[in-house]
Amino acid sequence: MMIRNSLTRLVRTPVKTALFFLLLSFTVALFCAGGSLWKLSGDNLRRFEEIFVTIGTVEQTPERTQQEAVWYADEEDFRYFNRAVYGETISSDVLDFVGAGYLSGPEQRAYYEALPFNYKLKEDNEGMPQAMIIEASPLEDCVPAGPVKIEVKRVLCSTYPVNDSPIYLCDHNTRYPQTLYADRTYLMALADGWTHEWEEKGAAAIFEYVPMDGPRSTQTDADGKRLSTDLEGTWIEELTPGFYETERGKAWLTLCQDFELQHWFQTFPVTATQDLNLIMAFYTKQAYLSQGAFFSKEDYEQGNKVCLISDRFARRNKLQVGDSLHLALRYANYAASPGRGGGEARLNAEGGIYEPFEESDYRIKGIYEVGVGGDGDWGYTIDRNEVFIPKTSIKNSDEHNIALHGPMKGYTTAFRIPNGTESMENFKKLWEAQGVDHVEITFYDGGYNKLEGGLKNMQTMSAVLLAVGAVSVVCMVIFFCHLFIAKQKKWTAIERCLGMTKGQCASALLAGVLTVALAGSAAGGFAGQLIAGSAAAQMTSTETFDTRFSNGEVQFNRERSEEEAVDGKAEGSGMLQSAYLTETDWRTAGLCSSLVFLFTVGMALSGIYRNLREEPLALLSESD
Amino acid sequence: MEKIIEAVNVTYIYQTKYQKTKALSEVNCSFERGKMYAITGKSGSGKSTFLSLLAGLDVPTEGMLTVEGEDMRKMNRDAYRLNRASVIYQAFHLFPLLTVMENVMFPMELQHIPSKVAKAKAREYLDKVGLPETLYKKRPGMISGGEQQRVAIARAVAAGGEILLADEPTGNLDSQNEKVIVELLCKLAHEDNYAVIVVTHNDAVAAAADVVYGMTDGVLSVVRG
Repeated sequence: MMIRNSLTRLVRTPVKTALFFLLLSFTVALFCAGGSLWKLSGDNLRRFEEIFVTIGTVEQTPERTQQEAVWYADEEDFRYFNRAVYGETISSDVLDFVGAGYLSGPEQRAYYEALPFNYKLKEDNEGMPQAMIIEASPLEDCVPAGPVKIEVKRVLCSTYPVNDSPIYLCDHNTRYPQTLYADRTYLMALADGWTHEWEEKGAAAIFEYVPMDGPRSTQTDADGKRLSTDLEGTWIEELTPGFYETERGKAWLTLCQDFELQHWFQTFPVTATQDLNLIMAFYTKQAYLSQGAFFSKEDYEQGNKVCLISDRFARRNKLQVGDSLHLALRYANYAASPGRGGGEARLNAEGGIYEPFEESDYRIKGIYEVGVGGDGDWGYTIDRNEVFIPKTSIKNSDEHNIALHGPMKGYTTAFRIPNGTESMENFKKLWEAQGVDHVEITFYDGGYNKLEGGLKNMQTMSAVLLAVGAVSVVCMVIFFCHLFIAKQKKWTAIERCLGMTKGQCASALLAGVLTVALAGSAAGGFAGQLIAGSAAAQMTSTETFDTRFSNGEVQFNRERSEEEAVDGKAEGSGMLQSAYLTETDWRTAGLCSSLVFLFTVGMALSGIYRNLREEPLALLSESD
Repeated sequence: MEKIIEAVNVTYIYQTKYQKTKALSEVNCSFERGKMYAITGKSGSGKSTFLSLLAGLDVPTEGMLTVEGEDMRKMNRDAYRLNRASVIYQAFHLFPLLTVMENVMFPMELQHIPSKVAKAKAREYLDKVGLPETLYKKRPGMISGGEQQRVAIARAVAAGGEILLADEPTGNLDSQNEKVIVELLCKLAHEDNYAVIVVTHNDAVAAAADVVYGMTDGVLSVVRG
C-alpha cells in the first residue's frame, strides 16, 4: 500500500517525475562515462607501464678525433681514417648519484670469453679465417712491401693445415717493412689476407698472407688501468737458438696454446647483466624468447645460475630448456660488446693464458631468437653464440681477468628508470647538476612519452567529466530530494496524524524516490557505458604512435615468424593499437550508478529524518 | 457518561538548545464519549500543544494522560491514532494528489481493510457528510473549502475511531459552511458517540459544545461545564 501510494504520487506528478528521471539519467551518464574513461585510461597507463621500458644508454664522447693514415701496399698509398681520441676513461660510477631512481643499473657490462669445451660453436660447413703461427724463411732476401715468397718450415699452430709452401707474405699495412733474409728463420703470426692486385706490375692477382698480432696483452686492473707488460704484439721474431726458452719465446708458445684452447676464433661470449632490458636487442625485441622464460626478479636478486642461449646454439648442441650448460669464464671485456668484437689481446700481462675465474653449471632457462632487420650500430647486435646470465650469478671477482677496459659505450653501459616524462626530466635535471663532461646519455622509451601524454589527456578529460558528472549528480539529487521529500513534510505530518508509523512514512517517501533514482541510475549507467566505449574507440582510432624502438609493438609480434615480424614493424602502430584496452568495464559504470543510488538513498534518508523530526500538529497548524 | 481521556497534572515543556518554555502547566481534565468539547484561548496559549498530546503525537513532560485508564506513554500511539483518534485541521490537510475517494479510503487502507470494503465505507461516510458523488473523483484542490473540510471529517471518521480532535475546523470557512461543519461535529458526538474535542477561537463553535475549557498561558480552566 505504501509503495502503491508512493507510486501514485509519482504518476500524478508526471512532469516532475520525468524531469527527475531524465536529468538524473543524464548526469549519471556523465558521471559513469567519466568514471569508465578514467578507469580505462588508468588501466591503459598501467598496461603500457608494464609493456614499455625506459632505458638510458651512456656513452663517453671522444675529446677529439684524430686522422690516422694506414698504408695499403696494393694501392701503394695511405688510406685515412678518423679515430676517436678519448681522454681519461670516465668510470660508470659517475652515474651513481642521489635521486637517480634507477630500476636497474647503471651497469657497464662486460662480456666474458668462456671456454668452448666440446660445444659446437659453428656449422660443419661454416668456414673460419685462416690463421697460423709458423716458422718460415724467405726464398730470397726481400722487403715484404708486396707479396714475397716464403717457405714454411714448421707450423706451430694453424686453423687449417698448411699444405702449400712457399706461400706469399705481404706486410700490407706497413709503409717500410723490415728486410727479411733468406738465410734466417723467422717466427711469424699470419692470417689469410686478401688478393693483392699488383696492377702496376701487371702481374696476376696473388693470394697473400698478412701479419696478425703476436703475443700481446691488454690486461687492466679493476679501474681500467692498463697493466704494464713486455708483450708488444710483434708479429715477427727472428728465431735464434734458445729463443723458445726466453720469456718472449714462451709467450709465443702460450699464444699457440691459447689459440688451441679457444678453438681459434670461435667465440663463446657470455654477457652478464642486471636486466635484459638494458641490452638493446632485447629492449627492441629484435631478440625475443622462443622457448622457456626470461630471468625472473628472483634470478637477478638471488644470483641464480640460469642462462639464456640462442636457438642456433641450442639446435647445434641439442640443448633444451632445463638442460645444463657448463660455463667457464676466462676473461672479461668491458670495452666492447660481443657483437662489436673483441679488441682484447689473448694473453695476460705476464704472458700467460687467462685461467677461468668462475666455472659452474647453468640451467638453460630460455632460448632466444634474433629477428632479422636489426639495423643500426652493430655494436648493439647480439653475437651468434652469445649466452646471457644474471650478473649476480657470478660469485667470483673478475678483477684479475680483465682483458680490456674502455670508455662507456651505448652498447656496454645502460640503466633503466621508471617510464614517463617526469621521471626522465627529473633524471636529466639531476644529471646536469653532476656537471660531468664528455658523457652522453640517450633515452629510449619506445614512444611511451607520446602515448603517456595522450592517455594522461584522456585521464584529465575523464576526470573533468567525472567531476562535472559528480557535481551535477549531487545537485540533481539534492534538488529532487528537496522536491520529493523536504517539500513533502506536510504530507508526512498528515500521514503521521492518520496513524502511520515513522517507518511507514519513511517507506512511502523512499519508495517513490528510489524507484525513479534506480531507473535513472540504471539508464544513466548504461548510457554512460555506451558513451565511454564510443569515446575510447574514437580515441584509439585517431591516436598514432612512434614505434621506433617500441617494445609494445614487437611484444605482440613475438609469436610471429621473423618475416612477419619485419612486416609487423611497418604496421607497428596498428599492432600497438591492438594493445590498447578499449573495452570499458561495465563494473565501473555499475559502481558509479550504485554510488549515485546510494547517495540518493542517503540524501533521501537524511531528508526523511528531518521531516519526521518535525512536530506534525504544529506543522499542520501553520496556515498555508 | 464514561471517561475516555483523562489528563492528570499534565505539564509540557518545549525545550530548545537555548531555552525551556512551559506550554502546559498542570492541566487536569477529562473527556467523555458522546460529548463535544471546545477549548478556547488566545494564540500561543497552549491549545494546539494540548491537542497534540491528546492525539498521541507527543507525551507530557510531567503528569499523565490516560486513554480509558491506560497511560498514553505506554501505549502504541501510532495504533491509537490509526484506530481510535483522528484529527481535522483548519487547513483541511487532505492529500492533494489523491482524489476525494482515495483520501477517505486512506486510513482504512492503513488498517488493511480490503479495497472494495473501504470504497463502500468511504462512499457511506462521504454521503454522511453530504458530499455529492460527482466530487468523489476530484482532487482536493478542485473543490471548495467547506467541501474539503467535509472530506476531512469523512476521512477522520473512516478509521472508525472514537475520539475526534479538531484544530480550528471552521477557521477557513464561510459562515454557511461553518454551520454545516459544526452540525456535523455535534452529530458525531451526540449520535455516533464520539468524544469530539475542538480547539477554536470561534464563539459559534464554542456555543455548540457541551463543555468549554479555556486555556490561558498553558493553564486550563473550565469555562462552561
